[in-house]
Amino acid sequence: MGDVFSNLLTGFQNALTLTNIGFGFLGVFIGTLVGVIPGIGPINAIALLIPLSFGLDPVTGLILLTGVYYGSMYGGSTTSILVRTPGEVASIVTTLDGYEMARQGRAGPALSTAAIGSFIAGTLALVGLMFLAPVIAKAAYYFGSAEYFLLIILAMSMISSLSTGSALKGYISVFIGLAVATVGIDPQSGINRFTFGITNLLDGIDFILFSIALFAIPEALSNIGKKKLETKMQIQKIKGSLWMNREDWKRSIGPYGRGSVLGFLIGALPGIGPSLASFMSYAMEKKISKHPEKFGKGAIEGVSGPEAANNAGVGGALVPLFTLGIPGSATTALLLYVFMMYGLQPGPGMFETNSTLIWAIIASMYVGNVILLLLNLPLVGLFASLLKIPLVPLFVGVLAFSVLGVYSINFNSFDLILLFIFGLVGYGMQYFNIPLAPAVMALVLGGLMEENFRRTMNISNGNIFVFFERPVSIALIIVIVLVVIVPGILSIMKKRRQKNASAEEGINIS
Amino acid sequence: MNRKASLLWSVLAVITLLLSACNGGNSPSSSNDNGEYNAKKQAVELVAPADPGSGWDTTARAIAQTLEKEKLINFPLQVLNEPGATGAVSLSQLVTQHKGDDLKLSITSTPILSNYYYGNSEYSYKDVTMIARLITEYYVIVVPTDSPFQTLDDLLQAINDDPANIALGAAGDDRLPFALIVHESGGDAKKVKFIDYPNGGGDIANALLNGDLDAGISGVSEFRGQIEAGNFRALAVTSKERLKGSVSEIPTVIEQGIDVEFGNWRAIMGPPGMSETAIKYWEDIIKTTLESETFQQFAENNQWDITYLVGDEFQEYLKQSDSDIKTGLEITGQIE
Amino acid sequence: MHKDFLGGLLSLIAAVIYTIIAFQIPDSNFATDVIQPNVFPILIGIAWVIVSFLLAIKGFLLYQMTRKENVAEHKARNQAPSTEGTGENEKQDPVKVTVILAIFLAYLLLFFPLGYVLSTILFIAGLTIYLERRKWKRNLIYAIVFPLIIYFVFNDLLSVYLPTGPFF
Repeated sequence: MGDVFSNLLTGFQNALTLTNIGFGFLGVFIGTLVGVIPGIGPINAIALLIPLSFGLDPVTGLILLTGVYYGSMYGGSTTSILVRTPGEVASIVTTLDGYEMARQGRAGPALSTAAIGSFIAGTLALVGLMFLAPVIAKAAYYFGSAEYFLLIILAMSMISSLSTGSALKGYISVFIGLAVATVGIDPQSGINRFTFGITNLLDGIDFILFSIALFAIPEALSNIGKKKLETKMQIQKIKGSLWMNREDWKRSIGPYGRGSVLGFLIGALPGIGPSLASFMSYAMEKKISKHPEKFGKGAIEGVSGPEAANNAGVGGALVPLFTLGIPGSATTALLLYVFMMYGLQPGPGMFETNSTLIWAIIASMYVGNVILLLLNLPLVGLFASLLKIPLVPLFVGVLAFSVLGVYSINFNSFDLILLFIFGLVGYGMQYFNIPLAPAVMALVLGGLMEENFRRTMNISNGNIFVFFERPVSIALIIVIVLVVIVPGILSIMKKRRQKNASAEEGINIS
Repeated sequence: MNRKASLLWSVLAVITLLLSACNGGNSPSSSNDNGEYNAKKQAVELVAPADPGSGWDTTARAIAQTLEKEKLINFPLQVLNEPGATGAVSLSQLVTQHKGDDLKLSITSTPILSNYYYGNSEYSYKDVTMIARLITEYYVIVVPTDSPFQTLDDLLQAINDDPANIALGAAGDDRLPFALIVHESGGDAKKVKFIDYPNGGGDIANALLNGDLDAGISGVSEFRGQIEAGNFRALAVTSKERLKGSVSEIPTVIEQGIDVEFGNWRAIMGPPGMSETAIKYWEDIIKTTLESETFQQFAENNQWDITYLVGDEFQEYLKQSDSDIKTGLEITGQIE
Repeated sequence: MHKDFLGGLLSLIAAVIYTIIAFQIPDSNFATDVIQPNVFPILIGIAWVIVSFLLAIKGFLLYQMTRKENVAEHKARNQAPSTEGTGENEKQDPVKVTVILAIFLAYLLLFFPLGYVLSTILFIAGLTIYLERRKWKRNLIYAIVFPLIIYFVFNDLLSVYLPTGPFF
């Protein structure tokens, strides 16, 4: 343990120079600005700025790029909260309560809790990375495709928590998302599905395109398509302080802690972790809350928890990278590429073989994390005041930004047409009060679910009992039963009892 | 914003607009006025037909950066990402919209061959100007260290005895070299239980470690770390001769009596109808680029094998590679 | 008509088309594949058909119920568009929405031919002036400044090249 501290100390000594901190600020600043543009998430932001980091000294370059990374992650949450446009998978759930808070005039506290939650979770995750990495990495050995599949089923069963209205409409939304997920070439079989001979559809429907089309376009349309235009966004005056009040803090502390732990653990599962972390945290917070009915209507817990989980997931994703040499997500793969530029040799046991560099990376990530907080808390006011822009320019600007974001995914005109088509779908769904978030989440999970199920079946030659053969999969099945089936039966029983009771009490109602 | 400021902004905007109108208007053209390439010093575009951070993108950016750092060209060069369908989207644009354009280059590799056979692309390597091969990556077949299989032969024997018993992980076309090996050793490649991992080496490594897979095949760089750390045992590499460095212990497939050599090459190509001047120019520049210290450093960091090849030899090589891929697709039952 | 009925019906049509196509997906290229590539799409399609059908039925029954309950309001209901829902959508102006969509589609189609700057100027100017004619001065300045700043940031700072049109 003493080792860890002395290593970290050296890491910080290397990281904390005036130049480095300067570049850290620059990185976070650019990252935040770029991250605000939908479509340019952390992956593109880093890729775009890699050339800028050439010619810098390794630690400085690392600090710049990790700053960009953190900044762009946070930028994505900002647009989720302000204009309901998530920049990446992790901030889908932030749109639910974050945007609702903004409409109630509480954009400031929403942005603050996102920044503070990210910071706390980032800190905890890096501590976890330092001390728990080897243990958690070993645990990952127990997760095969069967366990992945069950975990995704667990997540799917929680999708309903994303919507508030009718269950039937929630299911329709889920199936729309699942249907969209099946478009494209099916890698396992090599068969093209729903591509109609169009080359551009072979890769499937891009998640970012779909979420911009479903969230940003309908919201902009319904705001500027009203019979009578309001000049300002339909929000109440910004209430009270821009900062979080005592009650906000009280309600956020728990979600910060739970989100950090959950995000870190789930994030450590290569391949599926990073897209699940924030979503699972949202579902959990809603499940354990005493006021689940407040979720989706501006509950601060629905922002604090997922934002913390999201950032802790980043630290978690570094566990398999540093201990097993396995990048767990597209973003971690890109981070690995960046680390390799600075001489990191990928592979298991990087902690031993590349210890100086690893500790420098951890220290620079921490510095990036601190700078994010320092830079963004003062900016909360500025961002929140963006909502004071008159309604027409604001939402016309959102439309223009959406097109720009979709253009920068694949740089082709076909995607723009897709944006229009799915924008219409989204507008229709919104018109018929079909919730949007389940469709987007189902698109993310659908592909993973099918992939892992078919993989499991192929490996076991079609033996369905394979799900009951390993300890972790059995444990997951038990959790699914406890979380899904038992509450379902209980609520049916409750309803029946109420029905009976009301039937006995007053027949004269009808 | 007060009125004065808005006025200032609009004036600024107009000026910017005029400026950008002046230096714009660079319509692409072949520009060998007097036998000199790009005499007008127009910007050249180098396309990476995939996302930022991917293998193709890395290659394109490494070349662009070397050209800039070593001052090998006296005109600007931009890297453009055109992702979609493993290059098929970008290829179609190159062939149909940039015919005879000397100022357009693109990175390409083996999917240009297989996409054509899958029917995902109307065009193949014959429809473009293949300029030079840049680098090659070879495949390695690995098993977990505690696996009973000590040699490639052990593995092939087990697959032959009971193919349903051995799960072999591969990403997409990475199946092909293994299928060729099985086929060449007398087995039936259709029966091999390939499990697909579209995201490649990292996921396969994970599945080997968590017990899902019995064996895996991927590019050497993807598994090198695990091999060095003693987590995986490498059974064979698909290069002609043994590789250098820490993986020099791994025997080749050919050494083990099976005549299969299979490399995943990356090359640079231009649109159809590129001028001789342009081809010659880039052949020379690419040679210097690959030999420069800057690029060598890139190659070492990314574990690439520089295998520069141009002209007739390159065409011959492509023909061979094309026929290998076709055979691989046939014996796995993916095409008739 | 009740909104749920129409929504369910539209969803049902999409689901049926999807399911029909799903049944036509060919088998895997690989003999060793256990689960065929059409299995998930078919299951998804059928489930989607069922829930859409249920929603349409529910909408229809609700409509019948409200009609019986309130015959007096019936006529008014049938003439005016439905006034149910969460209060936000009902104030939509169909003409306005159609025009906005048309302008948006034109923008998407002209994005490449005219280049980013020109098409975006036209889009923002056209849409904002259509929506708020009186503030045309502010809207025009916005329409010119916004694309130019974006163009500069993208091309010169980020090296993401936005499409250029015939002029710039």
